[in-house]
Amino acid sequence: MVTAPDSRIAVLPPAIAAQIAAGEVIGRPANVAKELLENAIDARATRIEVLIENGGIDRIRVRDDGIGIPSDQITDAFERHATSKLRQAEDLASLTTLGFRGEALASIAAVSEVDITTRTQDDEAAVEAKVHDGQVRRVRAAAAAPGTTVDVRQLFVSFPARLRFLRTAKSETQAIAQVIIDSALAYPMVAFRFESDGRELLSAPGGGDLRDAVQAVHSREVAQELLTLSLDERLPHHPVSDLKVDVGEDDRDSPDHDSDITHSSELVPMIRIDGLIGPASLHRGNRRYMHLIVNGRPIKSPALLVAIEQGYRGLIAAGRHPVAILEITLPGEQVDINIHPAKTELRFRNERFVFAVVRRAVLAVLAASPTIPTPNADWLGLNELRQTTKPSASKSTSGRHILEAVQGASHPTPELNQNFDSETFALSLREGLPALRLLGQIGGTYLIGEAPDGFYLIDQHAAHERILYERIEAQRDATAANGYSQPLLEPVLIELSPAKATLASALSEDFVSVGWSFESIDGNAVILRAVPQTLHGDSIRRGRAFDAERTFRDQLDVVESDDRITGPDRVAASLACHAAVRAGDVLATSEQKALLAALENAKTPQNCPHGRPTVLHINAKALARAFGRT
Amino acid sequence: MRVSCKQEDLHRGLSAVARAIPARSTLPITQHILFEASEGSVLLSATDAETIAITYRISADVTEPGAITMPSRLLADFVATLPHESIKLTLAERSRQVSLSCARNTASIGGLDPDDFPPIPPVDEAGRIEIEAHRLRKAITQTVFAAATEDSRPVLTGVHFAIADREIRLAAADGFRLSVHNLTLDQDGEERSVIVPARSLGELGRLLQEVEGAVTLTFNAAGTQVEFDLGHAKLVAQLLQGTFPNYDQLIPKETTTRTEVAVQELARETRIASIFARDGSGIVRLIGTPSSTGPGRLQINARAEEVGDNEGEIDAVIDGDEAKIAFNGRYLMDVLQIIDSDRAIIETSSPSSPGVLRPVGDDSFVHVVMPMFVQW
Repeated sequence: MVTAPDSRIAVLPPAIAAQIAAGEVIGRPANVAKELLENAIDARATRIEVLIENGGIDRIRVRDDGIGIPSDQITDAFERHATSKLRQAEDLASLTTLGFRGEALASIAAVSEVDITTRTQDDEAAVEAKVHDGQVRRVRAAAAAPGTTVDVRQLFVSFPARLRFLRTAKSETQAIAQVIIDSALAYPMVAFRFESDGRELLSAPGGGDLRDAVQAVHSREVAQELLTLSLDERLPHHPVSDLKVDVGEDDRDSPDHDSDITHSSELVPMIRIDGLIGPASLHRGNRRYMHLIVNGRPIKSPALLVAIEQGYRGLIAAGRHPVAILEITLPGEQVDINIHPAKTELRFRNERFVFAVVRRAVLAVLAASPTIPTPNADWLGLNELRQTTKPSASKSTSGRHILEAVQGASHPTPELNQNFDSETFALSLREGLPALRLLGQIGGTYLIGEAPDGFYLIDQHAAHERILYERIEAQRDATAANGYSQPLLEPVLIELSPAKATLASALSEDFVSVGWSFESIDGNAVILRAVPQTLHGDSIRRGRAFDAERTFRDQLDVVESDDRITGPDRVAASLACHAAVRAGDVLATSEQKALLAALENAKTPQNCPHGRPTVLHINAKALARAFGRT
Repeated sequence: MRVSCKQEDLHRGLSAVARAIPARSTLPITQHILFEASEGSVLLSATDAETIAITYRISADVTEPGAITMPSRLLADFVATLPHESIKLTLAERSRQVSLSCARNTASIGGLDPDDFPPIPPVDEAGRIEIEAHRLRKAITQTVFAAATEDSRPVLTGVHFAIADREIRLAAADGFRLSVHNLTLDQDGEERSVIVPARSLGELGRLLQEVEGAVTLTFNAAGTQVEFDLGHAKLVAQLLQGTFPNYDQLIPKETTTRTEVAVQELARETRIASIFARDGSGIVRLIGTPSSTGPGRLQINARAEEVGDNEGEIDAVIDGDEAKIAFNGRYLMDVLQIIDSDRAIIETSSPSSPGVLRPVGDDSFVHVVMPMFVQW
């Protein structure tokens, strides 16, 4: 049996207390990097260099050209809750600096050995200090340029337990890289350089252009393709007392609904969203290409990522994610950052509103520039031509994604459509599809149309699916509760398997919203009363029979097996998919024309609701090049 | 076999029977017509071996009787392009190669053994009814369009014939609309309820165009077939088995608004609206406004999302409340096209209750069509 613990309660010695508290802030090398980067940015640095060794476990050095720490305060800087960023509790509501807890340096020093060199603009010389076991051991004058260098070594060396929990040097390096990526994108005016074990992994030029930062972080191709997003919007109405900046006492929930009450302009709180988002043709297999910055702070917000993705709804295949860098600016009192010591999460006072604005902003930008992929040049055998005519697009390390560089990966992440490498060949069309002259149908599957800028191949199923989907959605928006429907002359009793009956009753609201009308009855049957008008009307227009029972059964089958889309769109998308002409259906010329015309009128003609492309564009110029005409 | 006939006669006969030939078949001989020459005439036959058979007799100068089959398409296309002169067909004993000559054209067509041709069953006389051809034709025209072309319930792909007393009621429904036509008979018919495939009736309607006088309907005892005897032509149809829905309950007994309009005017406005309704899946809205002073008016409108809209107006005699109802433009056109009266009445009760159309002054026909639930 273990010896009974001493049951007396004792106040911990300060050093131990500091080490425990440090654990909250400093759990792995990336936390060190983050805290030091934030300090550098708060010190108004224009250039920040991060150097790490062995994933930051052996060494993390952050050097900035910021304002520095006055030489007489260097000891205070390592005291817990010592900060220059916060003077009184009220300031918490309107913080503009990244840090404010005054814990960073103290926490880092509690778990490592720190050398600090700092010099303010006014000081003649720099001051250098060594911190050991949390105590400032030696302070002396040194020669250095203005700014601060913090050199952290032997992280967790006296904490073997924590050391054991660290992952491989490679994954710690990745985590640090992520921190630097976030900062580089949040502060495009700051030049960043990141070096790991003597290898430069990132170099962002600073200068303030977000696109440059994106190029440094991702690639030149991605940076060039991004669309600019910028939106100002008034926050929803708040009680007048809320409009004062120091609203600390009022923490009522703000009403979500808009109000007609107008305020004098200087008092109206605004939300501003700036940034760059990728066209729908640019998508990735993970969410690492989405970055959020709120009031100058890189943050994580799964909810807002969902908002961005909703903007791409129906444009990007399920399981794929867009590229986006969004900076959201709103009054400080509208957000609460002080939720977690790591400060990566935050709470919006009115999250639903922010969510809606983000989604709307993304939608607006995408709607203004639909893109249509053109086949990879290889398809036309243009690859060599391209290389000779367009010498190496990008040669810097930034040509490859930094994370891939870290992993030493020699191949880019496999993309959904490698053949349709839209990163380099996407064509943006402000006006959507041009008016196409129908040339015919290929293989009973594709339509081919001609426009002045080349020819277009259209997947007839995907295109028809998109057209029907938009009609279903339009009717759904118009009626909110019930989609347009075509009632049956006489209700039809349909017997279903138990699984299908359960599915039908579970999704009944979604079914109703697209125009079905039925009721589940005892056992495993439904009484079908009406069918979606869109489908019925489309069948009738095309001179096809409309079989209500079969359509209902098919729709259930499709919904059951279609897990590419979730939520209420699932029924709408599967309805469109079911009703659309199939690949292999030979279409009459009039029907082909009608399909093209309808696609030209579609809001987002370039993708089917499941995200597959509907249209490929073969550029007239590429064609001319392929034939050696230019 | 040695036959001589007029090009026009053979052409007409081949066109008539070719309608029975299936578009696709696993039985090659069903792509052939059977050519049987007997004294003074040639009998042409075609069948899909399942649901329909058509025979057509043309007069001919037969010097040596005989029989052969010939590929329908080849023969029909060849004959169609020949001049209006006499065609001579000869087939040597035990040969399958038919020689044809017309004017200065000669051809040779390979046929098959006539004994292999699917037999066209004789329809024994279990019941026999005579109807004037033009009246039967109108009854078919007014019902067959409302039948389903294919459906989970196969009975809906047919037209229901209910024979009782001195009347045949023809009815067809496709799940969204119902057409009923009452045909009075000169003699008592044996009470009977059968479903004739709409496709066969469509072909019959075509054949009836050139018939004057009476048509004889004969049902077989087993209740599986019906024969329409047009004199020179016969059509045998396999009946659909099953129970036709009880449609009487689907015809509203009372409605709140009766709107009387000129059929041609409404058809014209519907046609115009349908152009605009094309993108909107065919939604055509009708709004009837009664007037106490003069005639009321009926507005017909349609809109195509983000493209445009259209609104037409015609005079209407409206008895009852203001009426709003939306129909599929195609459904409306279909029924307006087969009403042969100048004026028609639309009976409605609400935007969600069935609409009823009847010709003015002709109570043999009634049509019920389901409106759409749309946003007004």
